[in-house]
Amino acid sequence: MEAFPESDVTDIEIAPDGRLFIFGASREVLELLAGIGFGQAHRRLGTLQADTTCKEQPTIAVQQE
Amino acid sequence: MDTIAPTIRDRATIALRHYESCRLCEHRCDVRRSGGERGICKADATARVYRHRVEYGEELQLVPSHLFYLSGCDLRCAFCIAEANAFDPSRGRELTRELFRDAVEWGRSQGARNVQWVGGEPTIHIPAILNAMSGCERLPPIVWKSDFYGTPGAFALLDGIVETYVADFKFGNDACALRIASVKNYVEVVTRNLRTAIGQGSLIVRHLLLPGHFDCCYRPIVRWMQEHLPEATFSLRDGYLPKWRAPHFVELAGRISRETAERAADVARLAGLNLVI
Repeated sequence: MEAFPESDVTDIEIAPDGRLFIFGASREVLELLAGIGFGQAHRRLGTLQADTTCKEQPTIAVQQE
Repeated sequence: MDTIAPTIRDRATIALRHYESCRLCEHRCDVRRSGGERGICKADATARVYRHRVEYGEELQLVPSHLFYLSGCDLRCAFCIAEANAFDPSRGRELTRELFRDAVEWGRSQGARNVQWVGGEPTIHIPAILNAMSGCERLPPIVWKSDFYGTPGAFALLDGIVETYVADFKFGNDACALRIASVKNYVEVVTRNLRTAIGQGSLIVRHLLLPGHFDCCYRPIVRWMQEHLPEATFSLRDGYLPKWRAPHFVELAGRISRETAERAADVARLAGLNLVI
């Protein structure tokens, strides 16, 4: 079973001061952001690959529903 | 977690009484949802999943997390970013044992470490959730993301089943809660449930910074956390968006500035909280 079709969407909001807010980030979205030089995404991916149980502070703000 | 399946089946049976006279949340509507009656949340006895997916944006101790979004909510936060789904419990596919079992296997294949119930508000659907999980032979660790407006009876149904609670501590006083989310006695209910949850599993307390509510809401929350739950993880969010009815409230029409977010983090650090950002 795959996720529902509407589940594929990740919402991104960019604040006027340049902060990026991501809702529903998939791994592919993080990899995309890391690939275009978004350092916070790169660091998060690196942390996940190094140790998925570590508690280093996440660096991407994620809006809540 | 496989061994708790019988426990979940027993709990599901017990939980069904709430569909006859619902007291899952502190609105305590006492409506007969099994007969189609609906209380403040507007939900009947059918839970619906409007989205499920594996996400990487949650707190690092949770990800990759397989989130199940259920429609329907007991609160009416003016700034809700999911209002269409959150406030209409008829949206989505019916949560069944089969849907859940298949979805869990898909999530496992995608690397998910856990299943996370979110909303809307999952508490109003505890009987259906327990029933769905009771049909899963290989149940992942369960994460419960909630507004924490449930009754003690609701939390008793989850005891021993939920591994990690993620609590939204939204307002630091009852007046703001009533004005913005149409909910009464908010602080007493949420703080009572936070004390309960810390005894049942690990606890992450989230706070979404609201513009114009630094002194009335944020500071009191930090003070309470400092005094009562300094060991819990405190997850500070600054990604507020002025959605739904937020523009009707003068202060909620704006955003959180970078400076305010940094000041909030400083306040939490000075209070000695276990802060994640």
